[in-house]
Amino acid sequence: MDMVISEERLQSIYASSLRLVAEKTAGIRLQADDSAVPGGEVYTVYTNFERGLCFGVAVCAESGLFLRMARQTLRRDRLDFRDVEAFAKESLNMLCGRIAVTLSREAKLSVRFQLPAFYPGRYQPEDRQAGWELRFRSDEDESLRLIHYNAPADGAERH
Amino acid sequence: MKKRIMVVDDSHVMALLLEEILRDTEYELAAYCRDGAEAIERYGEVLPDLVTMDILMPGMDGLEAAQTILEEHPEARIVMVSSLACDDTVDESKAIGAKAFIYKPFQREDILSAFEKAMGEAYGQ
Repeated sequence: MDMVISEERLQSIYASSLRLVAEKTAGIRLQADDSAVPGGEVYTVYTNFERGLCFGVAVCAESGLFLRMARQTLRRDRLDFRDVEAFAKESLNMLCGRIAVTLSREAKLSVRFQLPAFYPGRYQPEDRQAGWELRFRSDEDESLRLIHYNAPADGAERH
Repeated sequence: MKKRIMVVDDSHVMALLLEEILRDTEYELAAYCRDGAEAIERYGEVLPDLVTMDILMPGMDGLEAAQTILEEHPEARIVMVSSLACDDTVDESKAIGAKAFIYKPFQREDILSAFEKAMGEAYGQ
């Protein structure tokens, strides 16, 4: 990605934004844990940043974590798959909004991102390579990966 | 009589969430629209006391929809609700006449405080 902001700072922005969204929406605390690997049924939500900086962001987590976040946020025990899918996409929307706002303030860039897409299972975007990832574990031992994908090497998507 | 809220957001979970937040308050969910075009079409029929408008939506975005509604109904009270709270977006919201801007993720008190502000301004308080 463009070196307007350091990788370390970007990782810090990702981590604080993710924790804020999880805690403010659902009251769920996430701790950094390099050994956390989502197992069993997982869902992935993904989006691309465009304009200013071009990269992809994915959240891959155990389905139970997405379900619990949705239940605790909406205060409803009965949710269908559509609700959980919509909640997962909305969560990434909130996460990326926080990231975009911080980047726009710190790097003076007008950053935008696409509407998030939801994938049952793991998802690897065809046109991107995983750059790095952060791993977290919830207060109920659920695992989550926050993955940063680099723009194509030729920079063809740069706007 | 409860004040009637129209929620405009491509994610139906926002309508579920606002419905939960507004329970036992002076507000009630009167209508839900999935995009800006639907909001423009239904505003005159619903005539809500207040609209919550997302910004990032497929098709027409929330800023354009809010501007169109306010051109046709200058009395409309619109509160922008978005995760994309960049300074230029907030400034543009104010410029078109939105009454308040709520950052996602929000909590119950954020919503109720913004609604109170929007209703108060509308009544010249």
